[in-house]
Amino acid sequence: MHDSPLVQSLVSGLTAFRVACLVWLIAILGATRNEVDRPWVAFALVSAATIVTAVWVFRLRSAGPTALLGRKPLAIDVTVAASLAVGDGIVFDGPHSLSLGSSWPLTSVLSVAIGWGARGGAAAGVVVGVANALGDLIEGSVWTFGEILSRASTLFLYTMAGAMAGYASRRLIAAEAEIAMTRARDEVARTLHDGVLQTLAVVQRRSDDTQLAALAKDQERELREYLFGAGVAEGGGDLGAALRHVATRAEKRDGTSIRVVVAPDVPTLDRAVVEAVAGAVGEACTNAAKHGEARTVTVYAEPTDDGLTCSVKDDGRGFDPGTTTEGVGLTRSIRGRVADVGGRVVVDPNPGRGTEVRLTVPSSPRSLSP
Amino acid sequence: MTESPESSSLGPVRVVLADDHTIWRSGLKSELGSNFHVVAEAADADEAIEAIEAHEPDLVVCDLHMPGGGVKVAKTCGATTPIVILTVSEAERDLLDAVAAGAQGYLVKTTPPDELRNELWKAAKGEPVFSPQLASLVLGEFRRLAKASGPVEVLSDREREVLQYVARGHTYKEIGEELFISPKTVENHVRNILSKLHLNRRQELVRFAVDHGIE
Repeated sequence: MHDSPLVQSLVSGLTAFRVACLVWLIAILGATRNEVDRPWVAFALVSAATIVTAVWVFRLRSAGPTALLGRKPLAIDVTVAASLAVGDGIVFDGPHSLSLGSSWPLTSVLSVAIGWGARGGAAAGVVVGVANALGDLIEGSVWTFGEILSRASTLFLYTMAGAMAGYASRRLIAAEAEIAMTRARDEVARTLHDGVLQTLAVVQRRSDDTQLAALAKDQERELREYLFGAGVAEGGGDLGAALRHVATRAEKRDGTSIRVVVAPDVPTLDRAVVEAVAGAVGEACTNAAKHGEARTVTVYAEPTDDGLTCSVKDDGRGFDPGTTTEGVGLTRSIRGRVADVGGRVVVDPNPGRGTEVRLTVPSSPRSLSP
Repeated sequence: MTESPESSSLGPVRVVLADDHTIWRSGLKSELGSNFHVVAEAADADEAIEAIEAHEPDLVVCDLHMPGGGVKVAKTCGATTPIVILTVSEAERDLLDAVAAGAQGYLVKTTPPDELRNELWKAAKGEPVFSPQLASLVLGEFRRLAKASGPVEVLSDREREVLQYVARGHTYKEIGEELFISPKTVENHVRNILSKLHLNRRQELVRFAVDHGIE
């Protein structure tokens, strides 16, 4: 629990509600003063509620909401609430039109819910609900079936109110914390983006030392992955991350420059499909360097109606399928991987213009390959 | 957009450089070579807009993340001057915004000098600077728009085909050969795609304003 603006506003709202309930409590007592049998008990109970309410109002200002949601303040709170509920039966001897133990005790249940969550709220609801029934028992009301049902429903109501308020406030607090964390990370990302990433880009552009430039490039990639998470940063989820990974490996191994472009809206793919596509793309990149003498390669993935299409295009010399047997062999492992998940491969040899390998795969593996 | 080749054919391309990092501007300036002449430098969006209005350059090279933002410059001056956005990351959400707002295209800051000069030269002549990444973003944007409600300018089959070729890494020349059309026609398709993107963005803004009761 922390003094976040959300907790602050929840507790402020509850405090306002508490004050309103106290006014209501006093009004009830005024309205039912002719029915009151033990005015001193009534006075003591209302005083206790007034003190607790006053403490809430003043401590909230001076010490913040956390001070009010501690173990001790909440225990006192629930005790006063339960006393009011039980006391209702002591203050009034016979049947009376309004009850002391209804609205103010509810605010205590809600406070516990905010402080301790759903379970705490439900427990406080049970305590107040049982106290309520106890009060009626002392008062000596006749326990007809209807009466029992009425007590049970009050108990149920308090318990549910506590549980729901606890659940909702916990969810809100968690969501708020998450938003705060995302904001903090965005802030860090922006700072590093404008400073460190720019510097690494300068080093890559302006250094004649190829090793230094390569180091800067590596560092840039690592920083970016750390900042935004591998998949999120540059889009494409798991597939984007997997493709960039194989591309980086192929770049290091073959000395080519590989550009990976993944559409922002590629569908979520089955693990096996991601692996098959990434494997095939890695293969195709290696082939481009080894056989096509390519310098740059573009890997592109975009969604189709029921899956994904991915292409690997290089700027090498291409090959002539009529005269080269190479083409058959070099694509065998690519075709194999893709066929395993029910996809297809098209190879466009483009003599003189660079080879293009295109894969089409379903989003989850299909056993029957077409 | 087509006036720039005439004016630049008489001499070097007149450039306004906008970036808040001095080291970038000086580095770029030295890399641009004799075909470009930097007439003014700016460190933020407002300075850039002022310089563009004062110097009427053939080309503006503008950082995406400088104070005020490159998007603002594209929005204000993109209709009259070719603007190329420089960025360190191609995954920026505002990259598409910059292009939709009227930028001619963008270049990644790690682009090698010769390629950079080449692309900027083309941009000054009014050619859209379209990388595979940008083509992919634009294709994604049109897919998104197709699913959204309201009337949209959709891509023709040919335009989508051209854009997919660009995304897959083909040059305009290669696309022309593949589709049996001239590179100039390919370029025209790309230009039309950009204006459709621009139009859709504006219509979407208008619809948003109407839906939310903003006058």
